[in-house]
This record gives sequence, C-alpha cells and structure tokens, in this order.
Amino acid sequence: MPWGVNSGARSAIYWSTTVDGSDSDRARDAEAFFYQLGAAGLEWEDGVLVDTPFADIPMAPARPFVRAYFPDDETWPERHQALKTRFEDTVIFKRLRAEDWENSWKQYYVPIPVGDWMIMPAWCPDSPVAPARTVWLDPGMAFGTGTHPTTRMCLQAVVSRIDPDSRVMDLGSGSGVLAIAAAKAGASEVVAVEPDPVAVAVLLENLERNQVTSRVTVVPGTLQDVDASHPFDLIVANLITEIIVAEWPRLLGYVTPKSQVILSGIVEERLPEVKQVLERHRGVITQETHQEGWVVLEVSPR
Amino acid sequence: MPKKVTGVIKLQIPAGKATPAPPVGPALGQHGVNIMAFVKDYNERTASQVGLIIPVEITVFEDRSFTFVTKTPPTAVLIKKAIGLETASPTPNTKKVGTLPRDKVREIAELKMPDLNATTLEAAMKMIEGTARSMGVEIAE
Repeated sequence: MPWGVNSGARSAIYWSTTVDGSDSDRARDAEAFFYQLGAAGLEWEDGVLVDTPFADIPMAPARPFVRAYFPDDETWPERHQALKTRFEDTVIFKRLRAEDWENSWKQYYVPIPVGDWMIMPAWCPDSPVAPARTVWLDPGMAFGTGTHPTTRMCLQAVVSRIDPDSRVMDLGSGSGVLAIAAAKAGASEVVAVEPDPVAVAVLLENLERNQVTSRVTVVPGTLQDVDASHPFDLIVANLITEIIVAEWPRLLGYVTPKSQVILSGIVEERLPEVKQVLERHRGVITQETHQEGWVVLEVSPR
Repeated sequence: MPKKVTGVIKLQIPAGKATPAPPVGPALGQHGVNIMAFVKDYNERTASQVGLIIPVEITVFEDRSFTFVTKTPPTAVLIKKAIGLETASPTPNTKKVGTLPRDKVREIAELKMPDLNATTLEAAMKMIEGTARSMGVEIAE
C-alpha cells in the first residue's frame, strides 16, 4: 500500500456479528441485545431508502440487518454463546482483522492525471508534473476529488479556456479543485461560490495548500450572493441538472457575449432538459463531451 | 457536483465520541470514505448530545465524498435513560428489570416520531412499548 499507509499499527481481531433484520421485531431485539452485550455502536440497514440531496440516481436499499462488532478476546466465547442461543440460524459471525482505520481509506486515492495536469492526494507532496499544473486535495466531505469523471472533464475544459487576465467563477466549488486549477492556469481572479459551510472549510484549506489564496475569493453562498457588476470571462458550474436548469437564466446576468460557460454534472438521461432551457435562453452549445454517462457542455451566451 | 450514490451506511454511534474503531472503521473504510473527516464532523455536530447513542445515515457518492444526517437516539437507549436502567433483561419474559410509566412512553414516542414508521402517536407508542417489553421493562398505567 503506497503513500505512507501503515496497516499494521493497531492490528486487532473483531467478530462482526450480523443478525437478519427482515423481521422488524427481531431487528429491534437484536439492537437491544447487542447493547446489552456491550457493543459500542451498531451498523444497521432497515431497507428504507435514504433521501439524499444531490443524488440524481438514488441507490436501492440493501437487505435489512443489524450488525455489531465485538473484540476477539477472552470475553468473546460467552458473547458468542449468548448470541447463538438468542438468534439461532439468523445470526452470521465473521472474523475480521482490524486495519489502521484512520488511514486505510487512503488506498482509494491515487494521483489522477488529467491531460498534462495532476490531481494529487494532499499527503503526496511530490507530483510527477510541475507544481503549477498540480492540484493537491485533501478529500473530505466536500465534493470534487478528481475520481469523478465530471471533475476531470471540467478541469480539462477550464485549463484549456483560460487566458491571462481571465475572470473566472466556479459555481458550486466543493473541494475547490476547479478554482485552484483556474488560478494556477493563470486566471487573474477566481470567485469560488459554495453554499455548504463544511465544504467551504475544506475549500479554504485546499486553497492554502495550493498557495492560491490571494487569487481566489470565496463566496459562501449561492449565485445571488455574487456581485454582478463585473462580468466573468469563464464560468464553470459543475452542479446537478436541477440547479443548472434553474440557474441558467440568472447566470446570463454575469456574462458577456464573449464569455464561455462550462455546464457539468448532467447525466445523459437529463441532457434534453438542459438543452431545452439553453435554447429558450440565449445559450449556444459549442462543445459537448460525454464520459461514463456524464455530459459536459461548453456554452456561449448569445 | 453531480452525484451517483454508491453506498448508504447506517450506524448508531455515541454522540460526540465517535472513533475510527468498529463499527465506523470497517463500515466506512470499505467505501473509501475519509474516516477522520467523518469522525470529526460527526463529533462536532453531536457534541451537545454526549451520553446518548445517535443513529446516523451516511450517503457515499461515486467520487467517495459523502454526506450524513443524524436521527433520534434508538428507543432502547431512550428507555434506559428514562428509567435509569443499566442493562436490559437477558430473559425479558421471566425477569423484569424495570417499569416505564405511560407518560414516558408518550415522551419517547413524540421524540422518535419523525424517525418511526408510524402514522399516529398511538402507533408510535405501541412500538415503544414493544421495545420496552423485549428489554424486560413493564409498562405502568
């Protein structure tokens, strides 16, 4: 495992104990019984769909279950017996080696080449390309980690469209990946707009990490909070279809006929909705890029 | 940023005191979620409820970013807290360990209402009573 991941640091063995939860009485009983046996917490699934913002395509819920983890120590045989007696053939035991949980997730993040740019995990200081073409990110709750095709497509579109002295707006900045790339590509001023306070905190950290704080202005809010008196040369909006459709007419208040707008976060199924609103409101598509079911549109306002 | 959901993780963990140990580590780690970012934010958001176990629903997106919502504490936890009970009965049918007054049942039902699959308060109260009985806790009129 590369990048300083130490998997042996707190090695311990746990028993993952899963009770079938398709009977809701049994699920409630398992919940109470696990706590009685000293579980510090539970993992569970009730089969109810979670209502998630930003999810264009929600996921089907899994089979219901209730699961607890117990250490494989001298207390286990007694717990094991109690669980077997109580739940008989509806309980499944699985032995599991604990990893260094604080770091094990990092193996999922690798440097991502985007054209001649790189998106690097924050804990990897050495980029294979010049620092001026590298965006370092500490991925957290903020969206935009470079593993998503729309992030990569947008980054490529952004860096290829920037002239020196460009004024750029990154609408829905998330981790700040696109704002950072715009600043490094030579934009004179970047305005990063992000309504989620958690993302804003991550974004500010990432600006600092990439030493572009002085050229990126963070607007914690939405488009309405951005000063419309100075038009932007380039606007990138990596959002979701609903917001793009709703905001496009308002976006026109921030551009000139020479401006370029990059619209992204559109799933192929919903592309017609976006095209319809562009046709109705002065939007001419100059380029359309598809990747893994996602679409990026480059649009000229007319 | 557009989102395809690749995983939903539901946990019950101590408010303000989550750690990367199980269940958090194994549940989140397999989805490639930044565990410390979750732990930090969860603890911050639940700091005022220390002492309770809070259910949390974490949605993981295909770029491994995530979001979460916290719910009301589990019924069993609230029952224990309401009557100062340490542990539930190992044999709820024969050994009773406490008594939950009806007004406490109502109180817990009202608190749990938004997260229960119940349309009326009476139905919610029935669910609370069911949990109490499975813990060896009797209901007082």
